[in-house]
Amino acid sequence: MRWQELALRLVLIVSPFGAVASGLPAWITAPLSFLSIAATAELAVRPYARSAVDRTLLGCGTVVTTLILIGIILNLTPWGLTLATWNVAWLIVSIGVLIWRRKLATHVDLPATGLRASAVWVIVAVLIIVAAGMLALAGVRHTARQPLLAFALVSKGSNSVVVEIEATSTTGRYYITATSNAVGAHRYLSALFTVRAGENGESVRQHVPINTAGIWTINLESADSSSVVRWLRVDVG
Amino acid sequence: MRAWISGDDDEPAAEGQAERGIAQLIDLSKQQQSLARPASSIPETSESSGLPELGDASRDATSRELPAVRPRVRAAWAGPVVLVVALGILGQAWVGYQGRITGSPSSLLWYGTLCLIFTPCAALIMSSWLTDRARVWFTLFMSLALLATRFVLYPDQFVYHDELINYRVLLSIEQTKHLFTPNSLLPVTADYPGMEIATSAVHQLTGLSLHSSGMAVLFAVRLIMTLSLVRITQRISGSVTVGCLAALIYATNPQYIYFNSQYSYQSVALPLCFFCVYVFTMERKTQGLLAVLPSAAVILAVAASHHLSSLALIVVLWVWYLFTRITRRPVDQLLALAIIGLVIITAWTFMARAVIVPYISEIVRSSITSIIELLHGDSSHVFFTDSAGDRNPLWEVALSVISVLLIVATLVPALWHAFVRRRLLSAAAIVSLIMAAAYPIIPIGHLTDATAEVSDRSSGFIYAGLAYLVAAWWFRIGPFRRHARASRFTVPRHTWLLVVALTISFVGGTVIGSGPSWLFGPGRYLVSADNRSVDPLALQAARWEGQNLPPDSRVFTDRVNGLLAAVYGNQHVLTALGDGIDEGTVSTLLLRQPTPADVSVACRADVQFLIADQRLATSLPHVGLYIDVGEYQYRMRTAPPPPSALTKFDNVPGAERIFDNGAIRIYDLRGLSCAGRS
Repeated sequence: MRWQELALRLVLIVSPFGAVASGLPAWITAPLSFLSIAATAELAVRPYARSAVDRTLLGCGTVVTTLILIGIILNLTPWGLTLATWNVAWLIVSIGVLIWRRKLATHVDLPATGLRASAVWVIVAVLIIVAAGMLALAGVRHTARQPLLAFALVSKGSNSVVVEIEATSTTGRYYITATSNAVGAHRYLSALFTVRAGENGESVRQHVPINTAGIWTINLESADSSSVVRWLRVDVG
Repeated sequence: MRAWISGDDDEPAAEGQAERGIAQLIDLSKQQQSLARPASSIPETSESSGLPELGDASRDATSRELPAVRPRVRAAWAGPVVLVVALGILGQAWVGYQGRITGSPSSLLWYGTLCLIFTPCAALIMSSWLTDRARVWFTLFMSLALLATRFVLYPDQFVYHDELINYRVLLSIEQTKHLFTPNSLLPVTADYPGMEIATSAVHQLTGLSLHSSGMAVLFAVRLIMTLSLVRITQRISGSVTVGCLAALIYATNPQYIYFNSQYSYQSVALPLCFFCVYVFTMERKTQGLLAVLPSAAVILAVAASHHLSSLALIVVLWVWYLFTRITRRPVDQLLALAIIGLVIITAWTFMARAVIVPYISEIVRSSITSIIELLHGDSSHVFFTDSAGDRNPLWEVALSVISVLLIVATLVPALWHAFVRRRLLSAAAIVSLIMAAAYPIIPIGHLTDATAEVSDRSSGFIYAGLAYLVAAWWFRIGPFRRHARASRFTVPRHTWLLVVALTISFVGGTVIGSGPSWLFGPGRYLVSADNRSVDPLALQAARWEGQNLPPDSRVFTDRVNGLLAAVYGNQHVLTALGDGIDEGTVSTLLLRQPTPADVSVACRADVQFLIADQRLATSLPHVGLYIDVGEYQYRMRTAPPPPSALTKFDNVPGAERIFDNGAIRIYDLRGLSCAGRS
């Protein structure tokens, strides 16, 4: 292996490690890492499979098998399967393969003619697949826009209860009432408040004062329809 | 040395190097040589004719009859086919989008766009317009495109039952940094974390999200499965085209589109089983036990991934060895690999015995119960209809029946001829024959609900043998050579006929494996319908649990909300397998109208939180149960539970209603007056 190739491979091995460790976004780290993994796998299996099909199969199978076995070994260490241990383990494997295959030189020979013939079709197909992905994500976003209104208990103390309204794609005016059958319990009526939740959702917290221990029913009532839309039952004290 | 990106058509030459191990698989007897004559009706040759160094005269004879490499005549069709496949994927995305917008995706469009991927590829692969190398790449392209359809339907999360169970294992690894954290949803999955290890590795090495990493692993194993199958079949038959046809036939198996495309442990283990055989039959430069080390490593990976796949692999290895003894054509180191494999898998199974024994026992028990019910005429199973009464369209039923008939119509003569000429078969081919002969298990298994699932899962293995046998029969190679000249059982072997039959088998097989139409993609909420029950309301409740309830609290709820509570809520969901609860009794908390016994039931099971989805009262469950096998009125239910069953803790002293989003209510039962509870 010539020193230029050795240097390039070392850069390929180390750079994903650095990229992931420095917290770069996945669209940078993932291609870099996959390229590094593929380069290592290809170098490892090259003497056993000279056709591209066998090299792809052997490389892919070897990577999956090796990762599973490394994971089992990492589990035996006190650190387990962490970002650091995985990257160090793969670094060791990659360097090991580089030393093992140090006598192999790589010659990249692009199939220029074949690529030219099918380039237009492939490019159009890739664009269509990208469009398919975008359409799929548009569908997910549509689902996420479904109106939601949850009413939940956050915490309770001896003289107050904290409740939360979690809403998505919902707009309305509400108030909270709290009632109890306990002796001496006063009915609570909150001030009117407005929930304007967009697609990303909104959380509204409300303190409900409680004047005595007992079972309390806390209602979320719509000012628009004058009806109880959600309610909770809380044992205070 | 040439790198893998090469402009030359180096496949045949490379085959010669890579396939010396074929001699271990292709060991047809010398008797076959005398039988071998070029069939005038099959004017094609194979790339395997470029393998004279194998020194196997029967291979040379065989190769003269094999389908053609008459390439480069109209390879221009490849571009349009790539484009049509992309349109098929776009069509699948449209089906998913439409399902989310309108609530009911079109099954006709779904199958139509699947065929847009499968059929043109099958036609091109089986044509004589491609080189052998291009044929293999197109086979791979088709299989990956079919897998991609799963991800355009659900691009951002796992939604199926088994996917969520395995995702819980992955989350446990990420949280604890170690393996084998108990998983109450399905305890056995925690002891077989191979797929999750690979996913965790991809996640940590690439920075991708867990879901994207899981997708990457699924793509990798689909590649492994397809190419391994092509190569193994090629090594047995001596033809790339037969290998590619075998991969096409394999794609028609009922689990190919549905179950084996899911993020489930079998999806990884099965391809690794094929890869193990591929690696073992490669040319080996080392001798002795060292030569089986790579295959043994793959067996260890399989053992760590899935119980039944590893069991199937070891059975195949031993049956293969047995037939090498019977046929007196030994295969180097096969016995050593079988012994090492047995030791590895036995050791792993022994370590997992606490969870694997109850799990397998439950499957066996429910299958036997179903068979007994069937024999007594008590079976309530209705074909092509789910438990809520949702029926498959008539055309789906017709195609699935025709697909079974088509397979039987090809399998019977193939099996018959293979059996008659069994002395010509190599041990590996005999193993394939035995696997193929198990095909009736698949349609017969559909006579009951419990056995249908078992038989469908077995299709991943059975079709490996069936694919080789039918492909070899179609091209009249090996034991079917004379059959090419026989009039009886002989059908005209037009490519268009093959492609039509493959398409029908593909659609029919997918109908059989996928079941009801709602299962394939997004749409409006359905009660207890796995993917269709994972909706924003259920997800909102699960995420709230993760943020507000103490982690690992003992939670009882229905099937889908339980999966979500475990995955997104980080809760310990009570199950019969994981906690030994009496499902019939505890399920009354959600499925029976209020009774005075409710509090004591909750106390005995130590239920801390109860998640009640009011929508359960609106319909019968689509998957046959609301919560789990053995639940209250299991298999006897004719109506949904009453609404009061799901609100019974609204007025029970000590119970608090702490969450309400209109559909789902969460009750805190820690305050119940339980005898002995502190």
